[in-house]
Amino acid sequence: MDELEYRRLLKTLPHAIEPDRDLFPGIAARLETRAVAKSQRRGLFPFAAAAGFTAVAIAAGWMALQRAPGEMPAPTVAESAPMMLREARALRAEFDAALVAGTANRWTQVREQADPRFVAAWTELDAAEAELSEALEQDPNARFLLNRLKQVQEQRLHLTQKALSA
Amino acid sequence: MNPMMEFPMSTAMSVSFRPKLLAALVMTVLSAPLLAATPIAETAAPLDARGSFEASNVRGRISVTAWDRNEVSWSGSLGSGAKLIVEKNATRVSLRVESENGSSWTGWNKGPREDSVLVVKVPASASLDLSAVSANIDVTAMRGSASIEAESVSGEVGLRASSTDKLEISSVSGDVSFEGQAGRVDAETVSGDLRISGASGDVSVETVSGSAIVRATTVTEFEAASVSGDIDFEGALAANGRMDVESMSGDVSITLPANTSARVTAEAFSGDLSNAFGLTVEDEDGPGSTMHGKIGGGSASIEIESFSGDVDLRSR
Repeated sequence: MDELEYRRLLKTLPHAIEPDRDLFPGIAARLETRAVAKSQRRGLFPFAAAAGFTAVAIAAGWMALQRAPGEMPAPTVAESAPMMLREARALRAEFDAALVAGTANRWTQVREQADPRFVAAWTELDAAEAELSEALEQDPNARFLLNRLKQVQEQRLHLTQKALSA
Repeated sequence: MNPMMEFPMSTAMSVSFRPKLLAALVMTVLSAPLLAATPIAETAAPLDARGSFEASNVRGRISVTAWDRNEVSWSGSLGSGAKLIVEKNATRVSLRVESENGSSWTGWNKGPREDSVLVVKVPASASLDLSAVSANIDVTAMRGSASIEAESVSGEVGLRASSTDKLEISSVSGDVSFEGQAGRVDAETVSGDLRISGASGDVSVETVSGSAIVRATTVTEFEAASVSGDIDFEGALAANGRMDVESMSGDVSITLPANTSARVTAEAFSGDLSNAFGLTVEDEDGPGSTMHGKIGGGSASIEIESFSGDVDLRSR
């Protein structure tokens, strides 16, 4: 599947659904479990990385939406941290997990071997993420900074999907 | 001045380089026909006035112009190693420039070595879906199109003198621009600059480090978000409209008519807040300041949030 075919496929996917409650604590908890599971089945990702990406992202979102609030496992991110910081950490962990799984644990290699145009964009996004994280540390009640952080992570995921189809 | 005079070369060196230079020139001349782009013979296919046209190209250019015929016409050139895939019926025409060997070519060292150019004429009210990687996209003179989507990674994307109900336009590092009329605009870049002129209805712009400049007539909804890029809006907000702007360190400038009617809430952590509507700016107990109040009757809603960027609400 090439880049352009992949884009056409993406357009056929359903639009994102905004959950009506905070999903990050549960996602953070499940990530820990998933990380262990992933380490046990490392190397078992023979399918196309781009398809893996989509599958992981959709599965994570679907699982989160299907689970009732009472079924959410206890959050593992430090409870003492302000809510927004915990959400930011959970968000980053979720996207990092998607990157690692989507690239079949070859995220570093993918990045090193990618088109310089993609590398430049990733660098731009890294800088933006660092600045946003720092800003959120200073102003942990700024929901909009978390929104921007999510935007940056989504851009990174989107770019990686494009690069993977190379 | 003769440029050679600036880089004097010894006679011995000059002599020893001549055969190599000559050989290189001969090779260049001999290989030129092999690498030359292949012209695409002008071809036409019927398309309903409200049909859809799709085109994709990796590098080079996609150039689309509207005309008053219910058909699509295309020409241009194919770079070395590229082929053109055409699919067509009465309601849809698709042109895809792909690699001849079938391999994906997004990889910087695997892609086509030459640009391919698609020059296309389409029915003025057709819908467009255009995709590129490093290719530039330009669209001119569309009128009443149901939707236009144009996306590139590093290429520039520009639409001029066009009108559409719905516009989605994006690039990662290339600049994005639109001049015309659109009922709904979604524009997005990472580092590319973004310029929208003439939009009305709903407008949404997102950048990371690129700047966003919007010149609108009257918007119903305006959403703008940036990390470090500046946001600059000038236009009117509908009586019950909504404006929502978020920026981390980019400056925000909003220019509205003096007779605007809106409730304003603006917050900044370390950026400066200012306005020309007589709204009070108050320092928070901790860091940060707020600016809120009513302009006129207060029918519309304006919310602006910034971390370190300055926010200026101007009147015209």
